[in-house]
Amino acid sequence: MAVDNIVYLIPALPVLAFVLTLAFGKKLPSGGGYIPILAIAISCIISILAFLQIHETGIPIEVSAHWFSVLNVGILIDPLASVMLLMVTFVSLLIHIYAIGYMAHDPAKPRYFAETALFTAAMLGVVLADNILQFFIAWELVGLCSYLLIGFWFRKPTAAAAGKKAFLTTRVGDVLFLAGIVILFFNMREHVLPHITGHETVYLLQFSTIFDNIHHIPSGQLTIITLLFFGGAVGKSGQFPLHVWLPDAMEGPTTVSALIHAATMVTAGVYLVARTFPMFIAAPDSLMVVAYVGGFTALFASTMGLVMNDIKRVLAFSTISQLGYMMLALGMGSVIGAAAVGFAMFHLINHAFFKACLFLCAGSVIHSTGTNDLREMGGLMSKMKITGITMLFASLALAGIGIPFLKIAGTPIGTSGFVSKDAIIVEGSYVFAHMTNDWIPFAFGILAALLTAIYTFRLWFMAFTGKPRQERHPHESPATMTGVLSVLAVFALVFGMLTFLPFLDFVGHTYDHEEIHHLAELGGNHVIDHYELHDVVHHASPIIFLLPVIVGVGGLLLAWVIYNRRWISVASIGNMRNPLFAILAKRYYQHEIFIELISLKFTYGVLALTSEFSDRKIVDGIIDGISSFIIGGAEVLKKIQTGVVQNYATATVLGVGLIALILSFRGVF
Amino acid sequence: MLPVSYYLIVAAIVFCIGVYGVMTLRSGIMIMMCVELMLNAANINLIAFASHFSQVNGHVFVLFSIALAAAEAAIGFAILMSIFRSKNNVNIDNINILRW
Amino acid sequence: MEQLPSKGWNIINLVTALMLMAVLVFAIVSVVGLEPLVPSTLPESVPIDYTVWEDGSKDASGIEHVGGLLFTKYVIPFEVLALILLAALLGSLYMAKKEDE
Repeated sequence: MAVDNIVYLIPALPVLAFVLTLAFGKKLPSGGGYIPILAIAISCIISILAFLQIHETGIPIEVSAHWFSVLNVGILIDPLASVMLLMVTFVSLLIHIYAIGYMAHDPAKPRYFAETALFTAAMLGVVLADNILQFFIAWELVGLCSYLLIGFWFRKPTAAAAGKKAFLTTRVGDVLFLAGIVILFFNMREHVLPHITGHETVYLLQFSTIFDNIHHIPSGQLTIITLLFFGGAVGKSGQFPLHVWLPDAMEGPTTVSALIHAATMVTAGVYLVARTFPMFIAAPDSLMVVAYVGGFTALFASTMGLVMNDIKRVLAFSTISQLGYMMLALGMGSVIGAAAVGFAMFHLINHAFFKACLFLCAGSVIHSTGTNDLREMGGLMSKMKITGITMLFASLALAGIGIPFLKIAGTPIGTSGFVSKDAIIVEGSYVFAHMTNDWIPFAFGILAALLTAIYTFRLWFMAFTGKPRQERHPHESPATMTGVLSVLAVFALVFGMLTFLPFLDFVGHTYDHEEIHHLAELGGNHVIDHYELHDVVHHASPIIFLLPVIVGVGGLLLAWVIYNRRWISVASIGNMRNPLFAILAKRYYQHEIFIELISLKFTYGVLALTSEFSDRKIVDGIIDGISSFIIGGAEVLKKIQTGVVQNYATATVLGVGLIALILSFRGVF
Repeated sequence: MLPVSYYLIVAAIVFCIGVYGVMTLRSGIMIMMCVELMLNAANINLIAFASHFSQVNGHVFVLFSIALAAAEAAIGFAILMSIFRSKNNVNIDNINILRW
Repeated sequence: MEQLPSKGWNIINLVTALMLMAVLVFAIVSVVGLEPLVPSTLPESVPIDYTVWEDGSKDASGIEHVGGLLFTKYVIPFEVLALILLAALLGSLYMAKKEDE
């Protein structure tokens, strides 16, 4: 029995759950939360079946139906999509179970569960799409659900504003993405369609069609298309400069932050670049842009995460930073080819586990202490043991703590964050420092790793150790919540180790049937032939292997010194008189630059008001001018109608006389 | 025999005097008189040509024209009576309700 | 003389009438000409038709012919004219009648 027949259920069941929860949620226990859980659990089981089938046979699952003209709707599950499917369904299921406990006191539960079910359906739609247009449609739906969920408590003005900001900022990315799709479509129609022979209908935007025919598209156009796609990814994944919505998006419930802004929606941008990777590798310079933007964002966001006092905002900046790492990993594809997809996806999946765990632990802490502010927490370890321990494991994963030099069967030993980040850093050193001479992204990555370790453990030490700084008595969270935390923490610890090599092998060979070397030649990228992961071990110096651990443990120690032992006073460094701190605390004055300067003064003051002025005075002026001219003329001309019949007689005679006069001078007489 | 154009010119002059009167005069009765002037100018034209070509048709046409002029004058004065009843004068100047 | 209308209209009326007169005179002079028309140049030369009464006097007015034509060729317009006069009579009677309360 092939799974092909039932894969359409994977997104369809959550949609059904959305409708049912919206309709009947009020009457059901716990706000109808069990309907999405059931639906997503079934989707998860079908995803597992699909994954097993692809793993055995190596043939992707393709289901397609004709839509209209040269477009189709369809499902494509190749190794890349299958691992993403597993992660999305599994993490979404766990977070839904957690939300039963977390949202227990919220009156609007049916709306919450309906919206998260719809979100899950949309994200699955993005993952399963087999053509770029369907991808975009689901992408937009994901953005909509994000807006709905961030502004879930819409009566709070900051939440409503945050939802609007998220939607508008990602919209900028979406417009770029759509522009890319349109340009791609026109290029496909102009350059590819003449070459396709045969009588069967060809679908121009289907991924397989695009990848088979990339060599027909001119490379200038290809660069523009891929950069526009990357623009969409920048918006959705919160890279610089469209990252401004992610910290504000923490206004939503913590489970929303965990689901959307840690594991699924923000990874859609990375998934886009991975999905269209043959195009990126065939376009000159696109991958280098990806790497630079990713590296820069990783460093930039981690500097801002150092000074945040809101527990969720630290994690938000951490997410932005880790997404930068994933983009950096994809950017390595210019040298190592499609194996880069494997590295980026590995970090993505691991990040999903430990970041979701971190957010849910933060949610547990917020739930019990009633505050988001780190300065008001402290000493929670004694009261909330499970939360503290799971958060410790997840923090170790985020900071990338592990044992260097030791490899059992080719797999490094350490937390999953260590395994994936170590892989990226080691590969990155090889790619960026040895092969190309662009070592800047690599340097950004190392610095970001150091800062990541610092702020991660700053958060843990401030929340869980030290003297309690508030009067409320915190309590441990209910079993539904702690159970999920434990599962996620276990995954955060061991998933990396257990699946390192098979994963890279499986996903790295997604694009084997595309001729990556040939495409890479088109893009001016020199790709290593038959790249073997193990070769790097012999090429790199030992410092490179120590570097992630030095950075991770060093950051942990630094945070311990400052925030636990208090040997260095926080207040002496972290006050506004210190200019470095002030810049970071004000988030590099981005609010002032983007909103005050560019948005209000320039766009509103100059562009909008000028357009309004010209529209009112000139355009309306012309219209009103014409009409008042005509009315004025009519006012003058109407005086002819005096109402006295004799004047009309005069006019008649005058007219006849004039006509006779004119005719007589033309010689009619 | 005088040239026929002399009679025609006389008729044209009478016609123009009638036109001037219709355009200028204020009283309705005076206007009716000038209308009769215009009709008679046309009659002069007809008789001039009939006499000149020694045709009888012109004379018959003039008979009909005179009779119709009389009928039209009767109707016209009846209308002037109605106007006089409502306004107590027959100044055509003041009937200007259909103005701008 | 009646009080003439306002000065502006006065001038326009005068100008109009004079212009009409000029046009008509010009038309007549240019088409018909000022010379007496010689009978030989006429399209159809029609001899003068006298009527001789019983006492021998000649009558060049042609009134007998008028009567004859009136009751033979133009009898229908004649009768219709009678009807028109009747209609005018009735109409003007009705309009000029004093209205009784």
